[in-house]
Amino acid sequence: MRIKVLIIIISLLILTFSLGITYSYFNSGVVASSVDQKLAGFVFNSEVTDRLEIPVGELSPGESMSHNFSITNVKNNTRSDVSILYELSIITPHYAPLVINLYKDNTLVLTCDETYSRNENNELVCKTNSFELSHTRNELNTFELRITFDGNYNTEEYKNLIDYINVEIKSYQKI
Amino acid sequence: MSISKNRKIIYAIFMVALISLPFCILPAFGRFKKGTSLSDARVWSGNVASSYRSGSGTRNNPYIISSPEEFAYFASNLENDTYDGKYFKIINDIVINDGYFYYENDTLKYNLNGNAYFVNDNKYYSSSDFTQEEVGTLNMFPSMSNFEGYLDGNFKTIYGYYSNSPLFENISGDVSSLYLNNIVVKNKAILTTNLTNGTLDSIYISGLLIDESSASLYDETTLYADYDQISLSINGAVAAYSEGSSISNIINRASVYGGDITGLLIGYAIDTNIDSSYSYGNGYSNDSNLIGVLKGNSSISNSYNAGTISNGFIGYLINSNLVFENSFLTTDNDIISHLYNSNINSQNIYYTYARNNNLVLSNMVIDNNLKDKTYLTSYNEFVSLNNYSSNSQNKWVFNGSDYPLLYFDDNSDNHTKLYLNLDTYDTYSLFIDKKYISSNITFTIADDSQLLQTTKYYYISNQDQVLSTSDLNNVSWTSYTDPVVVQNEGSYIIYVKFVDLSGKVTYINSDNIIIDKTGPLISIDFNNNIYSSINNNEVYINTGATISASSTDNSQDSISLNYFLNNDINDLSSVQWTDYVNPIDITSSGKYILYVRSTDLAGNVSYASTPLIIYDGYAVSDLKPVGFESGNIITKKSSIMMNITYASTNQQSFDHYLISNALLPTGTRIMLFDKTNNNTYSYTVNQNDAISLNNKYYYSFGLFNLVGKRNNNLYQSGSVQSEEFSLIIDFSSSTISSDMHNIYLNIVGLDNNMNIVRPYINETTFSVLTSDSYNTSYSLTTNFNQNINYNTDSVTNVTLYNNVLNSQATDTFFNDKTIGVLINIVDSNGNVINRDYYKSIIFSVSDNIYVPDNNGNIKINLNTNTTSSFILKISTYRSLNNLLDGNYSITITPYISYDGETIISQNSNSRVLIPLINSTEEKNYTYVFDVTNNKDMIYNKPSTAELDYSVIVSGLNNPNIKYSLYKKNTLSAYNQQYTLVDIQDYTSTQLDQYVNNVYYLARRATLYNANNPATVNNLDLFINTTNMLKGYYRLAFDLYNGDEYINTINKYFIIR
Repeated sequence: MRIKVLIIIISLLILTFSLGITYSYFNSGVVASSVDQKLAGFVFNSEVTDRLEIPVGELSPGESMSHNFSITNVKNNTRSDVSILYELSIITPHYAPLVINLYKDNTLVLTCDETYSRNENNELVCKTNSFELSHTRNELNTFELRITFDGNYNTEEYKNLIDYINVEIKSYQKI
Repeated sequence: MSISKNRKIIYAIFMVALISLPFCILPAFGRFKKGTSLSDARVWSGNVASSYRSGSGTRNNPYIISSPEEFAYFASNLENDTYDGKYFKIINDIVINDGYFYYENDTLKYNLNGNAYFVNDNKYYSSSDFTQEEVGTLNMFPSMSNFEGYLDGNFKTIYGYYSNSPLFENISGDVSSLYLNNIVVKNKAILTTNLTNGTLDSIYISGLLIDESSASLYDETTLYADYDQISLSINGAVAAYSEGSSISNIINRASVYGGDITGLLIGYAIDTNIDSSYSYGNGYSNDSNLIGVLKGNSSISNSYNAGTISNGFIGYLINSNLVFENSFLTTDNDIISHLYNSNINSQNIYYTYARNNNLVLSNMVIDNNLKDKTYLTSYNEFVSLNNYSSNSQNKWVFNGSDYPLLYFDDNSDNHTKLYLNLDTYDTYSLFIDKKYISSNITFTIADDSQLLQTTKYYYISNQDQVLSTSDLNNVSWTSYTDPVVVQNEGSYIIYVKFVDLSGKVTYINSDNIIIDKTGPLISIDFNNNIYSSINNNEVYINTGATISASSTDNSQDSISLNYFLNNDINDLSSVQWTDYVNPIDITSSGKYILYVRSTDLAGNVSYASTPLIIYDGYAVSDLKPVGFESGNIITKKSSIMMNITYASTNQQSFDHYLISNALLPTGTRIMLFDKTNNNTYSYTVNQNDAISLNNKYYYSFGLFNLVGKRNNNLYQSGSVQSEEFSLIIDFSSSTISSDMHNIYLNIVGLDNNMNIVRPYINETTFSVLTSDSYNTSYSLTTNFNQNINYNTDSVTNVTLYNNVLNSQATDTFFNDKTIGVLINIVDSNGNVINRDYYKSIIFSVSDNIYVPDNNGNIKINLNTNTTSSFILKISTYRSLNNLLDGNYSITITPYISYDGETIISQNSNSRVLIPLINSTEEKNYTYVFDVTNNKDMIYNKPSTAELDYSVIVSGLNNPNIKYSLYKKNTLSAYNQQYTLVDIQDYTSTQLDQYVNNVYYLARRATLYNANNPATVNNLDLFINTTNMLKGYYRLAFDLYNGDEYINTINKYFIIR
């Protein structure tokens, strides 16, 4: 079975925008596009989110795909002059049996599954803890969003499903 | 005719008239009762009042004269004032002299207090030669001079006027509504000497006019000259001379003595109109007439003479144009004695004695014609004062014995009256009422005026017809002294004869009084007995009866008969009576007592009653098929029920039996519910159990077993009072083989000798029809004629019709059942397929899914036993199964059941078959089938989303593409259950429907040609997401080759 997954990932430096990830049928590949980065230091906006949708490849039961992104407080060699706290949210309707794990610096920080509650759009909202980017030094946090099509679901009914994942980043100045 | 009940008489007489013979004229109506009794009036003192009582002399405020002294004041003022334009009204009788004047042996006499005196001038003496000392002096009222005003006598009486001159010298005004009674004038006239341009209306005159003058030479020729040149002495009772005047409604009962020419109305009249006037007075002059001399333009209408005259109605008609009509003469005289140079326009002039020449066109009639209102049609009959006030021509009274009298005529000077019980009579009349009384007759005869004493006699007649006056002359009269009582029952008319001081005899008669002291005799005919009084006994009957009633009375006249039917003894004071018309039928059980009341015309009331009738026996009620509200024809498989009651509480001992007019079939089950003792019994008929007697069949209650007891107890009869049972007779298990018509069952109580102790009172019948054609039938039909393919995704709605047909007979067997359908899937050999194969096919009705039992049977309870229809939804699903390919049938068979599950019977003859085709063979097709979505798959609400898909197909010879929309049931990724929804609900585009919710993309798909990109089947559809739930949707594209399913491709989209 394959699913077609659209994953939209954005790498953020400091400021906030959310990543809209839309999945489509699995019969076409999904290409991660470049992400936008914003400097927190210059534009402090604690609650701005943004969403991008980027079609990404397909998965068969048991297959995985990963998408890497990073969060930094430096842009154009300019570091944010304030310490930044940020959270990541994975938002997905989870119509396909995908296992969604988020790693930070190779450490699993979030598994987004159906134990999380859904919002008014029926989307699961899975949040990480807050992470800090100190203004005293240049920092770069690397993340891997690993998506696996659960191999236990390989019957005809799971064929041609579509789904989508948004990754949302919310940052704010640490006081 | 009575005075005091005048008004009631009008109605009573009217009723008598309605039932009288056709020629019977209405008797005289009540007469006008004038004023007060003279005995209430005060005699003139001789004085003159100083003023009138009140008034200013205007029309609305006339001068009021209330006493003789004020009347004298009036007379004295007339010396100097004619009162032109002034109004006067008299409100009391004016008595000048209270004695009674009369003429006897040419001598004027005066009766005072019963003593007769002789009059000489203004004195009266006890001797005729006046030699003895005068006894008294008469009041001499001065004659009144010229009066030009308006005098309303108000129907009061001027009594005892004694004078040498008339009351008035001249009247040029208006005098009306006046009684002049017991007047004595020694002159030319009583009321007025001259009437010049005046009016007299409604005046009554009685008394004496004594004219002591006469011409020395009786020369009639002087009459042709003017009045003042006439040498003859002309007098008139009303007026001596009249010119340019009108007199109407004048009654003269005065007699005239002396003079040359007398007019008992007017002596000499010129240009005078006389209407509705008459005279009963007698003229004793040389030439007495009703009108002495008549000249000029005059008219006479509705007038007559009935008194003694010597000459004619008109003595001398000279130089006159006369309109003469509706008048008559009752004496042997001429109508017109002398006529000179005159024209007469006459009509309806009558006379009763043969004449040679009346000098006027006239007709001879019999005397009775002139007393007959149907003959004298121009004399309109008096009805009442109210009627007269608006119909002044209705003023004539007809009493059958007199000529027509004006309503206010006091024709007898009659103040003697017969007082009989509460009624008063003062006239003689042929037209009387019949009155019934239940008491004695007590009567008295009295004068209502001390001034007018009479000698009184009475005669009691047993005849109910009025005796004529000539008959009365020959009866034996009894002198009246004291009140008389008549006690015995019978019919009576009381006659009174009284004689006044002048010797005049007058008769009075009462109504026909029937003394009836005995009430009617009532006869109530019931049950061969006659009841004539109130009866407090009881009687029992066991069959319907008729009660008739009648009554008779010794008065032989109509009596009323009323009745009251009740169910218990009643207090008669509270009874609501109904007029008895027809006999009363007792048709249903219960208690009855009939009260009868009869009242006769005398008011005697009698009562009678039947005894208390207790109509009872075992009565069947509420017979009907079990489970139905009504009906008495059932099928052989049915049950019928009834209630049987005995309501009365009389205690009896007997054996109970079920009685029938038919031998019940063996196997008939009878349930007996004894409601009195709260027990239930059952019995299954064995024909050998029946006792046959007089074409009836008796089943002892001893055959019935008590239900619910360990040891079967049979019914035990004993002493009982009222009873109540219910029966259910069930024929469904009986051996009945032929129709049974008009069967009845009831209960009867018998003694040891099979005599009826407690009867039954009705036979309510029913019938049992045995042909199966009478049973309620049920069947199943459909118009569906297609195949269903097994192992495909399809939905088929099949409309089935459940037909229930009833007959004229009620089928209780069917009534408590419900109809269901039994569904099987059978192979070509009729074998039911394994239930496992039912997984791919679902049967549902009204969204209820029905699954097969272990035997592959699907039962659907329709919950009805009447004609109806329903939709059987058959849904098939593609699945892996190893049902052999082939042709199968879905069989749908109707059945009946108690609970929808347990089949009692099924109608296999009415089975619906739907072909079911299974084909799983993979065809060796080399085909291409692909679906490409051309648009995004995530749509936000609310918006219009475009579903844009391209479907390519090739390699098939008859491809068609269908599509349908499903919605994911849950949010979880791990549950991929979807529900078919109708995509048509979300688009305004009219889709090509295959079945419910499934649509054709292409009925014949375009085969793809790689060289021609247009050979693509497109689904390009705009849907409105506003009404779509957020969620996950699957669009399924199904490829068929003809009816053969090939493959499906699913495409998904998200609404968020």
